[in-house]
Amino acid sequence: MSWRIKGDFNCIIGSGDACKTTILTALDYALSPRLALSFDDSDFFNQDVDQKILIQVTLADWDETQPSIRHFFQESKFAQYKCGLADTGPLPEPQADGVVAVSLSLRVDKSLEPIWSVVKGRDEEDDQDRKPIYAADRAVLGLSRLDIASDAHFTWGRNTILTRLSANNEMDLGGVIAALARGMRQSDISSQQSIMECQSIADSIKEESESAGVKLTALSPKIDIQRQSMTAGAVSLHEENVPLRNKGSGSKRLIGAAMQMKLHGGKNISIIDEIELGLEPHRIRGLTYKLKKSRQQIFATTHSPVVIRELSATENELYVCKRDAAGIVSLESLGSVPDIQGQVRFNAEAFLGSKIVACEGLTEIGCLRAYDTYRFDENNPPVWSLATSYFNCGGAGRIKSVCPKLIQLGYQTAVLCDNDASDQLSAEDVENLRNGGAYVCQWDDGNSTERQLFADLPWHHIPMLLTKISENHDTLELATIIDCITQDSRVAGQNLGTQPTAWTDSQVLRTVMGEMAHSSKWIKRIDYAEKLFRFAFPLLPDASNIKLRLAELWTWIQRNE
Amino acid sequence: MSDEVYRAIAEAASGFVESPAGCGKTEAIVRTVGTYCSGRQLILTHTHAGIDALRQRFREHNIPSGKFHIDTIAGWSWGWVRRYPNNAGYHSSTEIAVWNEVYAAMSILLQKNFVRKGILNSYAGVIIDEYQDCTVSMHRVIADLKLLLPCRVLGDDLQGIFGIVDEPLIGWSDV
Repeated sequence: MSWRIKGDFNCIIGSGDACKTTILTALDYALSPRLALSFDDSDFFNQDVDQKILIQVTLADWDETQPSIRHFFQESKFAQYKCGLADTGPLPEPQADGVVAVSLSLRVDKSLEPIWSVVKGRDEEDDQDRKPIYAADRAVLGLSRLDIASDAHFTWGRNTILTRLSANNEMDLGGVIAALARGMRQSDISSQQSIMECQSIADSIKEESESAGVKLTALSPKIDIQRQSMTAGAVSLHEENVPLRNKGSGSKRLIGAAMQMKLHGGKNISIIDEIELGLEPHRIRGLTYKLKKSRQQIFATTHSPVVIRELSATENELYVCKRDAAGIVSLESLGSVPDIQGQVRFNAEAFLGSKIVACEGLTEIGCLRAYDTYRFDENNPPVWSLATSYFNCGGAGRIKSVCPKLIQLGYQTAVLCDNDASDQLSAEDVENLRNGGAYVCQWDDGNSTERQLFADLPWHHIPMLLTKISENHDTLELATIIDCITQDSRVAGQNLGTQPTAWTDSQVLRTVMGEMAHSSKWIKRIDYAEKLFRFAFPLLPDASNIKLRLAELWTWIQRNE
Repeated sequence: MSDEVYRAIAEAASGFVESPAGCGKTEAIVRTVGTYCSGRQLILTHTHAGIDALRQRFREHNIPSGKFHIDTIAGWSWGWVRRYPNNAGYHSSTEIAVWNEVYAAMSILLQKNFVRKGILNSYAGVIIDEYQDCTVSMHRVIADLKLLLPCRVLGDDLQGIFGIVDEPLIGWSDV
């Protein structure tokens, strides 16, 4: 896959197992100052080790007044390895008035040995002009991972932020710690009771060894400080007497981010998988805001609608990651879809799944939620377990503009809309949606959702339906409902009376009630509609239009593509 | 030559030292770089024999290798031109140098901002040995380089060992 990065804040969203974290890890591996990485066969695509792993990252827009960057771009280092950058990717040379870039590649072949180099242009040929780049020079790029390894960043261990912040000071932490460790090893502990017990065991082993032919001069228990465990990494930040690693995960994330902002004057790269982890919404917003204001480039993933709402689709801060059946991964900026910003803020949750049911309005969402529970009760998995979200289009007229965009972003999209406003959504529009790959679930011609419900429900349940509408509603009285219906000009002549149970079934009466419910917005709220349909679904015949259509939609949702 | 001369060379924004063979020009370069120059110096000469002689002398004086980089004008120019043939307007082979095009190409490269930055990141000054052996096109490269960094040239007009070149050698009056 290739990813053209457009801005400084890049957050990847997408359904589970779409490779979001893998993309961050690839960036981390390619740019991080680690001395070595261990790979095994399972890291290769389909475990095919003959297809080498190749990660190439091209960077531009650095601050060449910084001493570390100037050092990096000396003739003896990479001055002659600056390259160009076009929309299609890196070029061997800068173009006239074009971007000057530098491109790093990490190759791993079946020897499993990672090789980092700076290449000029796309890394395709083995004989391409390339120069190895070692960990110390990669450190100049200032990449830190602020998620998984964040505990280590509170120590002065290898490559941590603290160590890099201290890089210019001539500190001999390692020497100091080693001397302490040496002192500990040499200290006399033999008078301790438990050590004396160890000593008697040691004596018996010495004897046993001698009988086995190994002559030992003296054997005693002493503290063995492994050099690797007592290095500068043993020095870590403490708050009072408590190590920072014992802080809550959210606080650690914030402190880590704060330390990273000090590195290289803040001009660096941070990787944060699941940026919201351990943070309350207000802290998520605070962190996102701080990161956006810093000079860093951020690569993050999220599963949080709070993060999505904080970021700007139009400034290409949100990318959808998708993986097709062949395993090919791609990223698409939400900003590539015009006019999507409002939808992203309004329907943030919907963008976190892989399938979206775009609903005409609140009534339809409520209807679907009720159907979800209804089917769940019958031992079917509810919609959310299939990574499907509801999306409020906000009116029939918007369906035809919104759905193609969702499809373009890679979401499998279904439409649930009523069929009473052909001026807003014509039969031709529906046909176009279907041709564009959307699954369309629509009621009978001329029917709103409410009218379809009144048309489909067996007559003897209608009085209870009217009662339920009134009960669910905050302010609507049953008497008002009955008044409105009985006074409608189409049925006023029938002298219906105030007892719905006494009314007789007729097409015209059902139509009047349905239209009234629709136009007076009796159930036009997610909870109103949801409660009403939870009442209605068990009573609706399986052969009713509502149930047939929703069953088809259900099949579409269940289908694995 | 005296310490005052070395200091003068080190501090000069540009200039030339002309003296006959055997008067200690190589010594002057080594002493100047080792003692009086701050920052890394790019030392350019003409032959690999010249490079070896300089390296040898730097070793004898225990000058840290971080203070200098020695190359031939040809090798140094070619290092840039073969990596940026398009930017340099160099259309011949990048495997085998076509020398009468390389220097003009290097002059073009020295106009490019990213090349200038790379050179400025690397060196604080330039010293050219055996300047009398420079051709006109080499001289143009040095003249362009002089706009970036202090350039000090050393030579004598009797030492021209390569008499057989297609290009006219540079005359002292041009420096």
